Amino acid sequence: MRSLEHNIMIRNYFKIAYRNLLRNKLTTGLSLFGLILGVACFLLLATYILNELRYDTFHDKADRIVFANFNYQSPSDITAERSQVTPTAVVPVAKREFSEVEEGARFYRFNNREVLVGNQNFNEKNMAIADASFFNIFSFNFLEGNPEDALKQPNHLVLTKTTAQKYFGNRKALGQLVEIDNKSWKISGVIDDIPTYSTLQFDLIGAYGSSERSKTETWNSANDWSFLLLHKASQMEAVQKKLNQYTNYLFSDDYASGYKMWIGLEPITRVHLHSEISSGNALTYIYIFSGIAILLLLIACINFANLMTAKASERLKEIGIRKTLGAARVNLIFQFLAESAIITGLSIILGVLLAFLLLPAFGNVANAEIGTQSWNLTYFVGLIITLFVLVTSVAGAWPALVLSKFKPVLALKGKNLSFGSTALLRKSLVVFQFTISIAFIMATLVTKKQLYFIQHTDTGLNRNNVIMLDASNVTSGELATVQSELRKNETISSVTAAYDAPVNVQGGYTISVGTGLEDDMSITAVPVDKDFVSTLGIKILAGTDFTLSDEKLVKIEPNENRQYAFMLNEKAVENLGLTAETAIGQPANINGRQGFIKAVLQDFNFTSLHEKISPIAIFVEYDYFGEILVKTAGGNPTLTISEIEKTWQSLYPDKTLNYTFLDDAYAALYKSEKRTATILNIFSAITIMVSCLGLFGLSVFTAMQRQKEIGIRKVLGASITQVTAMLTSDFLRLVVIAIIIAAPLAWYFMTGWLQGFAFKIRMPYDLFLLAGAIGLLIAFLTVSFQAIKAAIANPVKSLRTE
Amino acid sequence: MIKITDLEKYYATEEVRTIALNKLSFSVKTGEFVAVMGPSGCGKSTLLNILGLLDDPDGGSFMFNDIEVSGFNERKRAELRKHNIGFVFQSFNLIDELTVFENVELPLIYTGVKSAERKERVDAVLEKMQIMHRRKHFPQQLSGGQQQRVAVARAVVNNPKLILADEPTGNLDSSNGNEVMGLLTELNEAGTTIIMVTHSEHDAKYSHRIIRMLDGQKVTENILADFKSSERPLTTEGGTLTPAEVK
Repeated sequence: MRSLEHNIMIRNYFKIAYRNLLRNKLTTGLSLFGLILGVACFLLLATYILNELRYDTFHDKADRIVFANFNYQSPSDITAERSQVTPTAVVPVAKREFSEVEEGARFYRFNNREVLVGNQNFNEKNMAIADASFFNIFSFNFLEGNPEDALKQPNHLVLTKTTAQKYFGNRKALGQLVEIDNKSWKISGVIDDIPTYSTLQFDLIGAYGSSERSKTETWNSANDWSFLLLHKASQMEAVQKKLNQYTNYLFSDDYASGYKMWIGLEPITRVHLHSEISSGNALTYIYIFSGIAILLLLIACINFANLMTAKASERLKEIGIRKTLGAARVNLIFQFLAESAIITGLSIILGVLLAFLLLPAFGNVANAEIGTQSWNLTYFVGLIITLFVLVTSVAGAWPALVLSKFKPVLALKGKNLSFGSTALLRKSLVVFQFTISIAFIMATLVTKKQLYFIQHTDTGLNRNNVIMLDASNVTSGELATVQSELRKNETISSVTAAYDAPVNVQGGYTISVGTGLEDDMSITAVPVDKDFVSTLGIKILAGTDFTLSDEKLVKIEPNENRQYAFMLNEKAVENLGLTAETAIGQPANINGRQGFIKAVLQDFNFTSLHEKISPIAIFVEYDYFGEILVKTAGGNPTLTISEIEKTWQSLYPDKTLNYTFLDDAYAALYKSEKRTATILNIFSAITIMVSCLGLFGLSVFTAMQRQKEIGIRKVLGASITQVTAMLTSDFLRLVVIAIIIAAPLAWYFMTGWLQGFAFKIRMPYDLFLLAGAIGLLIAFLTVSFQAIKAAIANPVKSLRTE
Repeated sequence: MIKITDLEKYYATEEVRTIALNKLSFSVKTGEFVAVMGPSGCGKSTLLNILGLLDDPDGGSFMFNDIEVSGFNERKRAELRKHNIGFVFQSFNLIDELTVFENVELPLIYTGVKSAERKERVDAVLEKMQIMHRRKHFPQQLSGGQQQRVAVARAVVNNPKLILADEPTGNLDSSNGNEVMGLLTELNEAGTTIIMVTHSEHDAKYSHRIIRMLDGQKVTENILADFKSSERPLTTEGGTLTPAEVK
């Protein structure tokens, strides 16, 4: 019986709440719209964050898998250089020597490979090879074949579902043969596509045994990713200790002369977010996005709460009647919570729908392939329920407590009630909303300016009109032919080649200059073709450019007789204690290459602007080139590319031409910054929009509440302009306060962000003013409409006494 | 000073059109004190709003000091109003957020009087109304009589030629009411024209003439006292406003 009454009561709450919301269409509409946006954005950002947090956790044995990295420090280096690629010996040694290691697998990624299926040629950018135990350690779902022996035999190959479909359509892939590098490979398995939240990414993976590299265990070069599976997760430190002992012993000679080399271990689940070797700074973005998601939702909740309490004066009579008729305070609280619950429920339903529709577009912007796959059902339902409870109480609790408090007699009169504290809180919340919005605008403008700076600053290397062709399939012997064929085209002004893309040179070497007794110094170096410096317009400060004779001297056989010409940048010369003049002609040795310093180059950025310019050496060497660099004479790039494609087809009818503009490769270094900028852009727009929704609602109610006052003032001679100014200035004052609070906040966070760049703009204070002006203007437009409407109204109506 | 002829005003809702003023005509001389009486809904307040240039008539003529003002736009009406007319309301209509001083100061701000002069004039009028000691209080802290004295002070601070009072004693007890009526009489004796809407026969007796209304029309007129006209010109910001300037 009690529960029946209870049910009726609850139904009554909702019925009345529903009618109330319907009657107050403006408040309901504004709150709903804001909350829908807030919820949708929250879900989108949450999807992104969940995607990041679950990185690599989907493997059944994830807690026991560790990832090895390789560290190297020469005596002159202040910190060790850490790389994610390790020598081939790490895995077999660990497996043999350490009892804690259950399994181990190496993973090696190829550059482009041409895969011949029947008579069809596919260019695969994402092929890898791995040890047989790979699929025992990692949990990838097999659709065909089985994980135990898929990679046991040499030239066995596992495809992802998409790759298999691309090759064979709906036919069974298992057992089929394909041709790679003139060898026949047998398909031994098909797995589901790799989830986006996996560090390991590949489209096809072959047995490690297929490669020459499997035959030698070496500590001398590092190219593989090494993974170890431990018996227990807790054993990582023990293995680390043993590895240290092992490398100390192994490299004891090097240690004696001041060099350090060691293998570090990290749990695989930490690699993506916490490891310095993983690309990007995923964790920072998680913080940024979580912040945005929560703030935006909070702003939408504030709208609701603000509009509810602002409406209070209109509902005082209703509250008074209810109380007189015997409603306890708790009944009224429930009444208001019911309204909040309806709004929240509705906006969550519509917000989920909106998020669902926007997910692909957001994935595009965030540059993360996120999908509803991240909306894992249990998580998702949990999230939605939490969201519902939180928003209902955050948005509804304050109005409920405030509105239910009034004494019935006062409430009945509906007049002369002091809203002092409520009004103050409401104002503070508006200030809060606009502080966030304006801080976002400020951050957006600062990021934009820094990105503009990155794109337009002179890095000392001319990227204009340079097309970069993937040369990993071209042998160094063929380069001359390719060059001369390309040069025949009159839209091409010069052709050169380099080991790495010149905007992101990574090769770590050591150099010794002089008689050979001096200490070695770590240096970045890149083998190039002799026309490299002139093609890219790098300025020579002293000495002369490479010549044909330099090329001839490094092609001498046997290797020992080769004579190398080195160019060093200013920084390298300075660190070696030389000057541009004294450096020229000095004998030098880079990793065994004997030669002399031929020229000193003006410093140029050869990695991202995040990093200071460090010492670099460039030298001509014709062993391997990763990139062919084509400088066009300007004009239509599409035309030049089709010409290049023709030449390429005539030289390599079987090979696909892969190319990119050097400018794009440069821009790609700032992908994550660009992504942040775009996301900030979008969300600052949404934040200010939601804030303005609330402000608009408040301006409507303020105009209503002050109707009588406006009437009196008009009767006493106030003009429309004066009344409008009075109404808007009250709101604009809040926005000005918000600007004052937002500026130092934005300054603090943006200084931190800019700190990540070695090359950066000075903090642009004028942009802070601009952001403030934008905020003010938007707020003004929002409230002036209502203010003018109120000011125009005939005072007779508001002053009429009932 | 005021001459209305065949004044009409309608209120239209979706279904009904109510006639508030039905071809009403009368005139008021400068310096006169006129009471307007009649039952609720007879059009008294509508009349006062039109006379106060707050509202527009739908028909007829309204001469304010020989100027036809019925066609005036909002801006012109406001200009004429703020220099020449003071209002006293039944519910005082003081602004709760402003102090006594600030309330009385408002009309002077809107007519552009400089700060020092404003202070002087507000203090003078507060002194005269005997509420100087309450100048820093908020309306809510005053008694009804005190509030109405503030309202009267606010109405006269600009030295208007005409005061329109809408049941000025309606919310007051009799002693406070008499005090307010005394104030109005004093102002009238000093030359201010007063038109007062009232339900109270007692209050009406303070006037020279009572106009009785019913259903938007004048029914009778009682002359209670002799009144000798002494025309004074309308002014704007201290200068003389001629009919040509207003147009």
